[in-house]
Amino acid sequence: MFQVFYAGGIQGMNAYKVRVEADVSNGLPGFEMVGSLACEVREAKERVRVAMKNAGFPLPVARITVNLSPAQIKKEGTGYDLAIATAILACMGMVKKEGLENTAFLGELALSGEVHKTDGALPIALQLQKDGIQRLVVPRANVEECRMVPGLTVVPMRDMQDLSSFLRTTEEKRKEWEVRGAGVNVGHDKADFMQANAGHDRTEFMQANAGQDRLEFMQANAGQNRLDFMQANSEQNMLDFSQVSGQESMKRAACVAAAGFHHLLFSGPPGAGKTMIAQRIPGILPPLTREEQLEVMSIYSIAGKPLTKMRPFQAPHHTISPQALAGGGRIPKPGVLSLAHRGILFLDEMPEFSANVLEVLRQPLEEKKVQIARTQGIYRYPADFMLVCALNPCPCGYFPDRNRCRCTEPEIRHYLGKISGPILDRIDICVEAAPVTIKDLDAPASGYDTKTLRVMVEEAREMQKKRYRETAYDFNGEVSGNDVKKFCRLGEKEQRFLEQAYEAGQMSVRSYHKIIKLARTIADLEHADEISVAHLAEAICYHNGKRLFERRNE
Amino acid sequence: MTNGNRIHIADWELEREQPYAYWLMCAPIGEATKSRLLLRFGRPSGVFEASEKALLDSTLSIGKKERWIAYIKERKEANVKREYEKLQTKGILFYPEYHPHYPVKLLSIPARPFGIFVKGKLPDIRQRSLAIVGARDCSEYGQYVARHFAEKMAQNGVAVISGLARGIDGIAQRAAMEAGGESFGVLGCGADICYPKSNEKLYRMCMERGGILSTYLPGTPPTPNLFPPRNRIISGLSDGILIIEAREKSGTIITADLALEQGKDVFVIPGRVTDRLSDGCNSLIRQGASLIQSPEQLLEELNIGYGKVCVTGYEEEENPYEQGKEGGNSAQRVAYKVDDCIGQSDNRETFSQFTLEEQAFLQLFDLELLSIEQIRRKMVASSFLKSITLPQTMEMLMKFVIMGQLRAEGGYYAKMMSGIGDKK
Repeated sequence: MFQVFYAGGIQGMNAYKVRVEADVSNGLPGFEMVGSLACEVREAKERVRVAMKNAGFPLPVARITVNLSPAQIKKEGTGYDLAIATAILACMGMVKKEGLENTAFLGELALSGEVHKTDGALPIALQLQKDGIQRLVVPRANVEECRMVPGLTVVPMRDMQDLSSFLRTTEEKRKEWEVRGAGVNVGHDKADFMQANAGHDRTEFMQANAGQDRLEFMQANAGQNRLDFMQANSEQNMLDFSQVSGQESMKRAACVAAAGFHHLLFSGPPGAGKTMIAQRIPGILPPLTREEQLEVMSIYSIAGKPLTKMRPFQAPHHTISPQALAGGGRIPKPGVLSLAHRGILFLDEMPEFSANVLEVLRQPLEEKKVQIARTQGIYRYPADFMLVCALNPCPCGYFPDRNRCRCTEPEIRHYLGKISGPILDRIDICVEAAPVTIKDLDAPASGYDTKTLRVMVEEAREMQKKRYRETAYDFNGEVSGNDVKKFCRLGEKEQRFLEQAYEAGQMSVRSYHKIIKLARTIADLEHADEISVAHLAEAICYHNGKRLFERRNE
Repeated sequence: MTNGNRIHIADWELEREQPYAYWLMCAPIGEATKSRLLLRFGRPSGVFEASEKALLDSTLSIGKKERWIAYIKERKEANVKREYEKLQTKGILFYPEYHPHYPVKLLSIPARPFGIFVKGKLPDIRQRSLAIVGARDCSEYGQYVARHFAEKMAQNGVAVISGLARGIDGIAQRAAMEAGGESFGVLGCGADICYPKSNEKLYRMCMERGGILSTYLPGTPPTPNLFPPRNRIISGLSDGILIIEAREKSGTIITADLALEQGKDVFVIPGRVTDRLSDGCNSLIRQGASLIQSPEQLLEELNIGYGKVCVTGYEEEENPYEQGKEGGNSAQRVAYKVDDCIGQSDNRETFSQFTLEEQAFLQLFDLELLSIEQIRRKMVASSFLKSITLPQTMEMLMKFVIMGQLRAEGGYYAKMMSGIGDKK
């Protein structure tokens, strides 16, 4: 008997539909699996056999052959177990096949017969839906992410018992197993709803809805909505820029960086607030669009990490290895750079990172992706993040205060020299943090708090969206070559100002375009249609922060 | 200590004696011993040709005999000549203590060196020379003062002597040479080694516009114990020593002490009491060193009539050895001040063209570098400036940098200095 069911697989970021074919025939009893399989997939043989036995459906004593097609792609991962078990059950005559034509199965089997979580369920679900699958049977732990896919119904499966019941009943009964798809409160209203209930309000809300009501509420809002709700109220929202005292120029710089997705560097003595401010930047970035959300969640799904709809914030410790940063490993998985996609990569104590780890940053900063070559193919993971670095200006941290800093020039040069030219080149904004004294901690908070900054950033983003409506660009920082002249026009006075700056040695030919683009972002923040001299001056100030490195590298 | 006693070699014999003098210089015995040997045997060739017995005579009081014995055992005429030729090929000149070109000023210092190696030339006996020393990790203030003083010294025909080190030393020497003057660097290693490497350009400039000097054998690597002795050469060769920035317990202070021992004048630039880099300087002033506020004061102390700008010009300094501070008469004094003012008056005029707000802004700046955040903090404290926004601040900063009122370094800003000692 020959049966076919569908499952899905992943290679890098690409998911593909997999045909699981099973055949049971006479001959020497055995269980063979073919189809270009990695070893964890081959082991499915044992898992399926034991799971089925423990669930009460021992394998028939016959020759069983399972093929995973297309055969030339190397299959990886453990998500095929469920489909294989289904196909074999079908060969044993225990499945009512009507209605299962457009159903796919995903999941790993434990020896007990339980169905366990699979990595990469979301991107697989997205791809399968595109390929015509209408219903997906998944482990319970993967239900939340799969429900996000519009047009796909999801069936949670707990164990082999349930699976066989599901497969044996009629199509109408099967409908009852289905879980509601992308939930209520979609779209804008939902965003308002979530944010209206963030922070303080949430505590009251929860208390008002304590007890019975709350239980119903929670259940009504289980799954998708819960994810949003929980995250709208997560710790991220508890962070606010007003919690950092002073450091106006760092906050302003963070705002400009967020508005145009420019890369940013903070330099200053320990305790100045660099890390604090970096942690608060995700709070002023606009929320991810729907496509971006699916993108980010796909990456997290493949990496096996808990899903998130917020802007990612990754802050690897400086002892991280190049592999963990870029991704890879024997079975390639996305690294920290990809987990920071569409979000922030924060490198604290940048000179403490080893030189070859920092080198890994080059390709992603340039191409916005990470490419890992393996014998079975090239894995590409997106890595379009905003880089935020923090460092001390010298090993002791107090330069240029000669009363406290005793570092010699060679020491400083060696320390800062770790950061290579090409990486520095990509950083547009560089600000100094001033040392903080006790008096500053008590000072009244300045005008910048998270809410104000976020509004400013969103408005600047709107202007950019409008401007680049018909192009492939999203942000000012991405504009290249001739388009700079087109989109960031300068008046005569402004042109002359730049020439004077160049003559005064404040600018190099290399930084010319970068400064104009940065000035365009600053102008957007001020709601100005034209770039003015003030905007250019500010951009030059930010760009000149980098000269700290040039001086030390002479 | 052999101070006064020197042998005499006739001019026509000097060249012939050089290889033997160099051989004696390389001997593993003390400087004083070398002098004694010369006195005993009359001339370097005499030492070289003396018998082993005579050279090991106990009345010579040689310390560690073993190495000396080995040295004299392997002496060979051919080797001696060859070694000296090697020295000459390297372009290094050698002047033993009896040589007429051996610096006179070094003859009278305690424990004078037996010989000196030179790449380039030695300071002219008739020329005034000033040692300028200071901290290696100097501040912006120290850098500025070193440059300014060195320039003015060079313009007035004073040679600048220092150690070619990082910081004040190197900055002063470079500034002096760039202003057209001469500078001599005394090294704590062989004359053929450039240390520190970062001052390689300076090393080459010195060879052309002055000289590189050393009392150590060519090829001697720089080790810490070699620097204190060379500091005494620096002060020994000069008429006076100027200390610009020094921490309380530092090599510079040791050099100042050595200078006092040699009877040289010690001139000191004061600093702020809050700066650790001025602790040593202020301390020296307390102990009686001369406080100097401007190059003019220093030139006066050195008895040089200031106001004569050209270096190569024929105008000789008026009676440099004559006592009395009337050396620079009033007419010349006035001339100098007017000349000096021309560069500054431009600044003064444009300054008053600025609005009150802009003037208040410029007043915030001094020599020390400030970050934008530090500037903002100062502004918040001023009634004129507290309402200026951050973007406006950055605009003003850039404008002033372009106009030349301020200078930018990395993300830090400071005043662009015009002169020292000008009375506004």
